[in-house]
Amino acid sequence: MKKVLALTLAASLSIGLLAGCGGDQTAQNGGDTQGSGSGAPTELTLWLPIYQFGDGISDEEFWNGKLDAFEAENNCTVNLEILSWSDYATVIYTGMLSGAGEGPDVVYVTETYDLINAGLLAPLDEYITDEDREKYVFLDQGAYNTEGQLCTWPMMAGNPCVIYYNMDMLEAAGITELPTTWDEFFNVCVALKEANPDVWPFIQSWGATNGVSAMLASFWPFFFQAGGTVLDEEGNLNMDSEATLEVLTFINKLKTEGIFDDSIVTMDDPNGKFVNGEAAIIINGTGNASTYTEKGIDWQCSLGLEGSAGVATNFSVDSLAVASYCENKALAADLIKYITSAECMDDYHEQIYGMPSLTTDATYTEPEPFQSMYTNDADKMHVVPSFEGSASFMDQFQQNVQGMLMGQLTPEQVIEQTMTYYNEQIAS
Amino acid sequence: MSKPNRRPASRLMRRQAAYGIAYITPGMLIFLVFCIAPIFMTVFYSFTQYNLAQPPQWLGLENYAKVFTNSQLRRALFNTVIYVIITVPLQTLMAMFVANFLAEYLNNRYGRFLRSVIFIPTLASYVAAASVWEVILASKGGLLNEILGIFGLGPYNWLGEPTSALVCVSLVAVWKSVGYFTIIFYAGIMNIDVSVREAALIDGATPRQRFWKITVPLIKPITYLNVTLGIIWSFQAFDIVYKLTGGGPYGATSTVAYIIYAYAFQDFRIGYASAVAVLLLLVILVIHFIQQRFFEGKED
Repeated sequence: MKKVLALTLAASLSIGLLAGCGGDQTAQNGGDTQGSGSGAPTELTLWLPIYQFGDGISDEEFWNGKLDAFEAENNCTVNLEILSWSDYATVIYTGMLSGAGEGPDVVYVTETYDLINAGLLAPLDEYITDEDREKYVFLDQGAYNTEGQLCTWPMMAGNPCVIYYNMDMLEAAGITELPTTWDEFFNVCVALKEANPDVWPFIQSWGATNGVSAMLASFWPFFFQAGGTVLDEEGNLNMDSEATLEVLTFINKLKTEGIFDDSIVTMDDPNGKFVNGEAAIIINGTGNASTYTEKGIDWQCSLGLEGSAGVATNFSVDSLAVASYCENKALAADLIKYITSAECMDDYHEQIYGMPSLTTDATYTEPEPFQSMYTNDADKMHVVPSFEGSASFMDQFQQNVQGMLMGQLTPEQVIEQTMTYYNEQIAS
Repeated sequence: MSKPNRRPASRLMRRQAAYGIAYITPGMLIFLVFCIAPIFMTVFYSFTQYNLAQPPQWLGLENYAKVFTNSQLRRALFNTVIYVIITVPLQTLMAMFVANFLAEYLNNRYGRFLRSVIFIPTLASYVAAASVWEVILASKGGLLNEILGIFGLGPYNWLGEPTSALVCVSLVAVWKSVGYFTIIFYAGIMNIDVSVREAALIDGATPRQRFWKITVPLIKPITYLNVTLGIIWSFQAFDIVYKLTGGGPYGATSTVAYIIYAYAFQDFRIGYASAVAVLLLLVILVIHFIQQRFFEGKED
């Protein structure tokens, strides 16, 4: 009897395993069948990243509260998942491969090239009205597919990289005015170094875990000030440019003239050094301002320096998108419009994370001096577009810049080696 | 010469064989699906362009042609080999000596406590361990530099110089894994027949002689296991590098596994990453073959 029992158990385990390997065909092919008898499904899965880093209401509580109204009005169900930022782009990509039922119908996206290239995002043009185009001010900053169709709808547009100055340190070095040009900036760094050799006059993040993080505040602001464009008119990578060389030469000068020490290429946390008063100047997103204030730093900031192309910096546009496998794209598009409406985002910016308002009817305003920047200098803020193999390109670029900062490469070699690697190993 | 007379299997034996097959089937299926099949899939993908979302497109040897001209990969392979050369002998010898010390001289409650302490780093996650070492090795204000400063030394840029960065990463990996190998060695040493050790003692063997002439030869299978596992795991080094140095500075600590991760899960170039993974598999197999011959030679 025992043997029969054991055999039965073994057989059932085997069958169970095979069944498991067979997968859920319903989920693969179309997922949610709710409502299929009477039309399109009325259940959506929404994936958003965490933005509440303080003690206030959680993202989940906030959105569940807001989504109740949408669900009631549209007689539908929205299943919300709040994700951490850890390997976010990878999580999104692999999550969307699961298809309907397991992957998201509406998702917050950061890197868009791979998602669009893989056909995972649905075009949104047919759901955009003329009224929407007038109302949503950042709509044209979304990402497009090769047919020129808009595939992402901006939700968080802003957080430009600005230059923060610790005014106590500047005043101690006898500096009363913020620099406006690269030369003035360099002179301020030299003066700070002379006044206090134990602190970093200016700190960058060339030792970050990956190239994307390293270049965000350490390279792109200078690149746009030098008049660089990431892609040319045909969409090809345009980093083999005078602007790139100009920026690298300037960064190299900061190292050779002793503004940076050798540990600039390590993982030491630059933001922590600024917060702890170990660095006088840092370039970082406007979202960090409240932390600096909380830490008691007497800071001032400027949007950017004046390079050969004038004052400029980079800013982020993260968006919402509809999965191509979503069975009720019209409802998903309505959900996106609802989330990005003033009704939701005014409260979101107040309670969760401050960012420029997305719509003309919004009432939220950013604290000064940032609101004035958005109002007066919006044309000086540039987006770094997503392109093929961008993560690997930036990793390679970061590594070669590290080589330059260690005295092993010239700025020209950084460009040449990175572009050779990109063309031979990354670009298809 | 007549053929040996083979008795037909009895009904009982056939039944037992059927039971045996039935019992191992679930385990074998899991092994096939999750261990063997992915190897063949990886080999297949290595000949394709594949981004997980769209069907793989056959490329032939194109990925391999690219892999062989990839300077970043060559450097990563070199770093990985150095990493293996540092970590495997060091962790194996340290574990062997510590285990022998615990078995010979501290086979009591203090020894048990010490074994637990040595094992703690193994339990910690690589990310947590790397975070702690990041603080210890920081160039400014790091614990190690602070201690060295007391003696008028340093500060050193441990993670900012290519050579020291790779050595530091390797040593952190040794610190992390030595406890695991110590426990395996300890179990092996404790399994040595007591009469052999007693005989050596009666014959007047010194502790050094007992270690080299008795313990080391008798735990050779354990050493083989530890070296094999050490080599395989070291070739797969990823977490500690990712968190501690991000592969820098200037690629000095990038490893093959780190590069595979970046190609596969940052750029979603699964085909290309698979080609690199297949090459890594071949490298490990070749080294394992050499190692096997080495141990067999010693046996002879």
